[in-house]
Amino acid sequence: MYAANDYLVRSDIKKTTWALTIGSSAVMHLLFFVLIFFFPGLGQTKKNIPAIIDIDLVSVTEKEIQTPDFDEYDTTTDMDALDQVEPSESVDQAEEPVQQDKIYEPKTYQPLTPIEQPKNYKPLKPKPELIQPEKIPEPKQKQAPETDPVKRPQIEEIKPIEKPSRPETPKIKRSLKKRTIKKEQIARNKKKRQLTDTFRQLQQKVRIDEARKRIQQVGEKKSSVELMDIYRAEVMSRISRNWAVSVQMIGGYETNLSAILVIKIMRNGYIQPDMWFEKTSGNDYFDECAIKAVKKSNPLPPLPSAYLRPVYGPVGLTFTPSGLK
Amino acid sequence: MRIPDLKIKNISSIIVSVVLISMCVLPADAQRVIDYIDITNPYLRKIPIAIPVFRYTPETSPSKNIATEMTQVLSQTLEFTGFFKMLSKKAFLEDLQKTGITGSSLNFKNWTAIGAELLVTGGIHVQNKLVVVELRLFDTFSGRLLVGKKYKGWHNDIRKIVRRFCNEVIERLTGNKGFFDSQIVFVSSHTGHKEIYTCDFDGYNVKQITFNRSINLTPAWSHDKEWLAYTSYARNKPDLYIRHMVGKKRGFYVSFKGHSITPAWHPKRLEFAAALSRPGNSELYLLTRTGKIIKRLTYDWGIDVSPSWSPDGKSIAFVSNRSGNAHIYIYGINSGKIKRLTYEGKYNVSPTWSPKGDRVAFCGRMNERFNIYVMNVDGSRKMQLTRNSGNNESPNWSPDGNLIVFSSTRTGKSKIYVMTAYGTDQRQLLSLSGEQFDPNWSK
Repeated sequence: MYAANDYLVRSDIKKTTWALTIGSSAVMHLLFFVLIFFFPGLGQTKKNIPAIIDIDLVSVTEKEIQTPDFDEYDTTTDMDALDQVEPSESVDQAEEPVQQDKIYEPKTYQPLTPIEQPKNYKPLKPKPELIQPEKIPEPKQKQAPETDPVKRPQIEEIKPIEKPSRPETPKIKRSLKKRTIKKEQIARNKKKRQLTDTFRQLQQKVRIDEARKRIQQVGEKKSSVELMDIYRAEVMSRISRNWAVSVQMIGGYETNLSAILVIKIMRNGYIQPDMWFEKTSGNDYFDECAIKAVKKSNPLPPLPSAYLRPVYGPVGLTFTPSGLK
Repeated sequence: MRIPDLKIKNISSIIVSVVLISMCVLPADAQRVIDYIDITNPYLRKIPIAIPVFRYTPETSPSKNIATEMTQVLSQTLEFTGFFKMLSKKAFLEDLQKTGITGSSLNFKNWTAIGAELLVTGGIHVQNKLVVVELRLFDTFSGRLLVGKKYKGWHNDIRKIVRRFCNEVIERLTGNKGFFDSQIVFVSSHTGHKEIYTCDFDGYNVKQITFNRSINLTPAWSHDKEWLAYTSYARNKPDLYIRHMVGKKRGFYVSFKGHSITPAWHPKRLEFAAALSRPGNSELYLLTRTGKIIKRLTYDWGIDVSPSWSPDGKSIAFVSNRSGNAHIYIYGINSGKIKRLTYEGKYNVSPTWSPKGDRVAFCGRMNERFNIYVMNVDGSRKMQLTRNSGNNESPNWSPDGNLIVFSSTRTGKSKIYVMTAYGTDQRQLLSLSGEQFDPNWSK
């Protein structure tokens, strides 16, 4: 009895293990295919991100960045990269990437910029304040509404008075403090006009800071919309300039061929090697011309600095020879 | 019994939840809105091609001269087609004499860098008076060898070798045969008489065909390039002459009551259509090669002239004044039906059917100027190809349908010009004194 029961139990266990293994494998397969189906570019983006991040962190200029990327491209970039190889930089970058995988945050790369090449990054002038980006804007925002109203003289008075209140926010206000000190001197020594000038400058700086804050908090989408429009126009003209299509080969001027080629643009303007057709035209020659135009245009202009993501894209390039008509 | 069931339920629920979670989390990265950039205007409407000077051995000046000459002939021949944009040799970063001509010895990045999409490399080896030529066509982006050929010939065969290679190139790229073996026949008055001449497609190798010191007009090639039909006043009245162009001089003289003009060969058979005024006014007839009437095609009170066959041989485009003015009509050989194509203007003549069969080119008069137009075979999508450049007349298609040869008075006297089927790249074919007109391109 015992033995028979034991046997039964065993067979049951076998059945359940079978069911488990088959069931789980089926589910895992399903999961796998679902993932592949919905996110075909998943694996590639993951690979690419770290490469780009260490570039940002080292904060070299666009030209210097080309060295590490050069290896990724098989054909087109060679001649460009040859001129700009800087071995010391690339060695540094080679050591770092392991640490930096996790640190993908747009804010982190900026504080480092002033250390190496402060001059090259003109748009990033307010860098010192960015060391603590979350705190700085708040006091300034309080000031901003004060400066905006018409009563400027009031503010002039307020600032000298505020002086004693320094200890409350000692670190953050350093830059402001300097400015206020300067203003005091100016106020004592020079005329009111100069005062108002400096005040305008201050106001501008406040606005820039606000804009920066908006970019960082709200995300790049709203503020960089116009910038990206300009960038897209640049891409359009660059690729059009390199696009050569024989009219005779595509059946004349009044053809309605159309192909959509999807690419991804990295921060330094290089196009990632994986591009694909969202839609082919049906004319092999035409499709090939589109690919050649993109390859010839590589690298594209670097992404605008206000665009904080490491990769722009996927972007669909719609090739239609309607301009021929 | 129950415990394993529970386990299965647990595990399956875990798996399902994992799937759901992953579905929710992962799209954050992937479901980005795709931006689109419209690119509509190609900067170049041709294929940029680089043809560096051929590599030559032995390294002597005579072989160098042959190499440079051959390179030039190849560039000109390919450029003639209108497909290619020749890149300036000054921009080239590589010299074949130093690198080599095979795919493995070439650095294609140096060619893509200057914008070349195609590259032709050539190497010649001169032995006494024999020249051995290797020619290759590469796709510079993929480094693929598209055409590779080796030729052997005498010094004066250079042009022939180049043309043969060009035929291969065009066939490889377009799938259609090149026209580099074709010839153009035309009428020239540079001797003081309107005699008939032939030349190669590119204007080289001009040969005089008639020597009758009379007026010879509207020459036409047969489909096999062996026969030429033309109108001549050699016997004081416009009659037809059929001439064999190969071997011994032989031919036929076709004369009827009244005039016999504007012959047009059938695209597949040795028969031709022509306008005969035998019945009183000019009507179209179908005749055999020897000039026997097969049948009368048109029956109308108006004048019918200038037939042009469709490539399938089933229809004829012609000119008629049955509506009062000269207009273009199409006649169906089997159906006998006639359809009018042009309505605009008062004078549309010289129809010529494209080799692909979809378009008809013709000469129309607007504002006292003759210009060349193209339209579909139903009369739609009419396009003016020439403008503001004198009178442009008698269009005729190249065998591949990509070029049109025509006569123009843009420089004063009528000369022969070539342009693409879209009216671009208009250039003079040959420079002879006197007037040249009535060009006809062989198949």
